[in-house]
Amino acid sequence: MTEDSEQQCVFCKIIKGEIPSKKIYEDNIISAILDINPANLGHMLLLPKTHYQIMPQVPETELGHMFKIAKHLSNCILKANLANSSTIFVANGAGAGQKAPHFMIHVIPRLKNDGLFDIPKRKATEPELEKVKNVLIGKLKERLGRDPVPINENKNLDKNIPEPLDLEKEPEKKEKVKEEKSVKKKPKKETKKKEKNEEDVDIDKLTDLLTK
Amino acid sequence: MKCDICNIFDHKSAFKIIYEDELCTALMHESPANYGHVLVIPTGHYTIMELVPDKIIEHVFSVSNLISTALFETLNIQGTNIIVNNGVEAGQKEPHFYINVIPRTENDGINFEWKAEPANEDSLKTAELKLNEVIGKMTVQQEEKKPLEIHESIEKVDDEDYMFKQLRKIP
Repeated sequence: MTEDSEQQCVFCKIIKGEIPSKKIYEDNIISAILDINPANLGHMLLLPKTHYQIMPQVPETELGHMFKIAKHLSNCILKANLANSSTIFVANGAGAGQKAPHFMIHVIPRLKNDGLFDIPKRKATEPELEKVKNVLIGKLKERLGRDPVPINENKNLDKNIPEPLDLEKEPEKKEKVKEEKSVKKKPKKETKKKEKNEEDVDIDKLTDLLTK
Repeated sequence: MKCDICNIFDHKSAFKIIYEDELCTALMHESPANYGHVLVIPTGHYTIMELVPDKIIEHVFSVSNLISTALFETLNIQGTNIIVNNGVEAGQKEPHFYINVIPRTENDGINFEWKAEPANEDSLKTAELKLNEVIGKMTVQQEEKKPLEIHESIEKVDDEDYMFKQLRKIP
């Protein structure tokens, strides 16, 4: 069945070059092409070269690579001045809008009031939320072979407040605490500088728009 | 002053958290699009996707994939959407990147489809040129210099039958 699906797959033919396309990016794992029936101009389809039909089939390393490239393609949309915003969209299964039996990631430029991907907000009751939370935790525990949420986090009301050290009884820890306090201050500054230098796009401008 | 989403990490017990590790947290959306709507949020404060380091992108989407599979296995659904609305025009309200994992059923009243109208050929060519121009300058962190291995055969996963059933419905 997989072979039939692959032979008839339009996207496999596009990847092989049997059907023409506008390729934006390619490496040994994936091809990214322009969608000729775009949601907005610049809409790209990120396709694995292997005929994976659904997301669970995609090996983790390849999936990680795909989303990493999706991020970089989104950045290209900004740099090419096609838009100031983007949506990353995956449809898994017919009920989610999957149209073709070939897994893909959509990277879509977004324009003001384009009416796309408006995620509705509905009311949910506390018991409903609690129930689905517990069901999911159970399933994740089964899959991971361990608790998906660290157990001690559930017990404390707020951020873990460690018990106060009795520094008079344990004077060697006094020095350690002093050391830890001075080390903590440095990382924050470094991260901020790095962000500004790395990107060419006016991220500050975009951030300002978000925080208004 | 911390953003609303960063504040979640200081008051975890007030939220319905289903997964947590050093890099990210997944929790139930309090006003879900559908029953089972999960948010996957990196612990670090990144306003938009472009600022998130590659390693963290790989990790948070891997967690999203895990949650998507868990949703299929626990709820009676016909699909999941993974959506990032990145930037003001995309409807991003909070200045903190996160991923939506939304369970879908037929006739659930949600429509993420768009009008698939053919784009003008000239416009497409212009977009292609613009993107190709910037793509050359794209720097992707490469940890290993050799290309990633491609899997020659697709390994069949037993618990995928439910997804293949959904796939058969696709024309």
